[in-house]
Amino acid sequence: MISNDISKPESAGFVQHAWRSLTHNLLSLAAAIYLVSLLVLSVSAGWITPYNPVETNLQAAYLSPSAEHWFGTDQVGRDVFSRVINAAKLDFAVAGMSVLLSFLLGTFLGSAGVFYGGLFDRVVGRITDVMMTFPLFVVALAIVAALGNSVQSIVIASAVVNLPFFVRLSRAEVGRLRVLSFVEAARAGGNSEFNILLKFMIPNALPTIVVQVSTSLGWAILDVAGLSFLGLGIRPPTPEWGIMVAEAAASILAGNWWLIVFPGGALAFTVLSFNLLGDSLRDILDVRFRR
Amino acid sequence: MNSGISGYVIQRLLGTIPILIGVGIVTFVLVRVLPGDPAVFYVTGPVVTQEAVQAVREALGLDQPLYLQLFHYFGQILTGDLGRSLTTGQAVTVSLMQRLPASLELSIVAMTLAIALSIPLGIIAATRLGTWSDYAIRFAATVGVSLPASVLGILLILVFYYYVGFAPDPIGRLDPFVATPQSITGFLLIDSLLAGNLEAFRSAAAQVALPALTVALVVMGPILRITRSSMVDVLTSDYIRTCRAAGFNWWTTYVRYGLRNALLPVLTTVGLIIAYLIGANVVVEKLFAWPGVGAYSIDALLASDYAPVQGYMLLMTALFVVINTMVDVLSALVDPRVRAQ
Repeated sequence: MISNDISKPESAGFVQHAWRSLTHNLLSLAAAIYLVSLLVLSVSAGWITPYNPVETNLQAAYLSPSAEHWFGTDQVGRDVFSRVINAAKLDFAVAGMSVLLSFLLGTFLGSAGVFYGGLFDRVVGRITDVMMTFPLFVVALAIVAALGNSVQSIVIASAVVNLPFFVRLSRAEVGRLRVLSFVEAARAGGNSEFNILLKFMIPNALPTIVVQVSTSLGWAILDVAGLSFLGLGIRPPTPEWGIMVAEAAASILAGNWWLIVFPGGALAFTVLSFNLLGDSLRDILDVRFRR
Repeated sequence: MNSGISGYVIQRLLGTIPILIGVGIVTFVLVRVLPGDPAVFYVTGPVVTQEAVQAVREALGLDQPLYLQLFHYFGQILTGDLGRSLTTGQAVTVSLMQRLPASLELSIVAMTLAIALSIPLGIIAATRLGTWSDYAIRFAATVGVSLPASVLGILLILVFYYYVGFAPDPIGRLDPFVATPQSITGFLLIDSLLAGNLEAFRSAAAQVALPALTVALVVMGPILRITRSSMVDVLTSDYIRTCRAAGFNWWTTYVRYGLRNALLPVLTTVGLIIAYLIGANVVVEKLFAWPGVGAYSIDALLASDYAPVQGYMLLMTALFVVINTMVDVLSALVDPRVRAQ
């Protein structure tokens, strides 16, 4: 397979292309391995973590990393390793819920917009455009003020922020698919419009939308951790990355590097992995569409 | 042509009115759905009696029909009355105006830094498409959008304050032992220069460095990505090939002719970048004890003090809408194609 970018005279040759896809895939492979192992670790956290993530031990506060406490201990002597691993479970669950919400609702709204067309489609499109760039923090502020400072509010806020991307994608995809001949064939075969949408168009639009799921999961984790850092949503002493980062901030002037490096690193690597995975999935799909 | 532009500007400005009214309605409804009766909320005194609640309800106009209350609310907004904070007792408008310069100063320094860093990097990546420097820059941009502002800020404090000892105490806008210059613009960097107080200027610059760098690194990712991709689009166009064929030098080809056209898509995504900026600003204000509007609103929210929260939302949305409109107008001025639409 030789690069098909004839339009770009500067584009790299075969070797560079191969190198590029290799490094890209290696990176995404690493990302996938990281995410899967973190998921496995966090689900089995109850059996494998050496300490209770919320058990305090004031005699053992601020211990730097050692064989006993791999990631050190925090201000009340809790084991940072146990907390980082347990936090993954919660962050994955909350982010997953929020992305699931925006995925379902966004795909529905976007494809329904194309399906019904007219005013409904225009309203959906216009609201999406406005929402697309609306700052998460302002949205979260409103939702927390209205529904109270709870995990549900954070899930909804993050879902609202991610929603327009799914609406826009599914609109574009369904709009692209509806003029293709297999849809014509399905219509000629006597399927109802609704059936065509549900059984022919949405399944074909899904791969592209799934790419967005990966990227959105990264964003949602970033959102949840950012908001809990500010004191919104998940609250101490629950082990959660954003809360651990906030607690690290309180004692950072004393130079307790392990309190920020491990939870912050776990958080950043998770988001980075979802982003890399999304990017390379998009590249792969791009090639398929270009052919 | 001139009347075309002013017509466009007027049309755009009128277009922001429904959005602003919509936001006003949202914040109004917000107060309605808040748990509890707002009147009970505002009753002062040791015992909440039925009569006291009724009196407050009448005083606040809560016994009137909803549409009258909505009108009343819009009247208050237009006259700049955003209510009082329950925790500080201060008028929200006054507090917001006192704190807005601090947030703006941080944002402006950060944006300047981010643009100064990401546009050259974007050009380098686009002109060396497919080389290791392109990948390194793209990877850095991906890392940038993956790093939370909080983690970034704390790491910067750890390195530059704790290890290198280069940065001052990461608290506030000015060293507490430095005399505050008289407030003229509210921007300490400008006020201290106006007062000829170099010591205050140095202190203010040192204090703003780390918070601004944190915000800059957060917003750099998206700016860098957009610059690179729009630069790539421009560089593959015919006129750039003609420039190269005509033997123009690097600067003329890529910066004078290329960058000018590549910056337009960057300009139109400013809304997205501002969304990042606002989020990063709030986190950084909390982290560096920066007395800005974001920290003010989050503290109020956590204390269930809703007037500042509403005020902040109105202010941010208004700023957001105004900036987006300005950007649209600006791109119409720069780009004849937008003007033609």
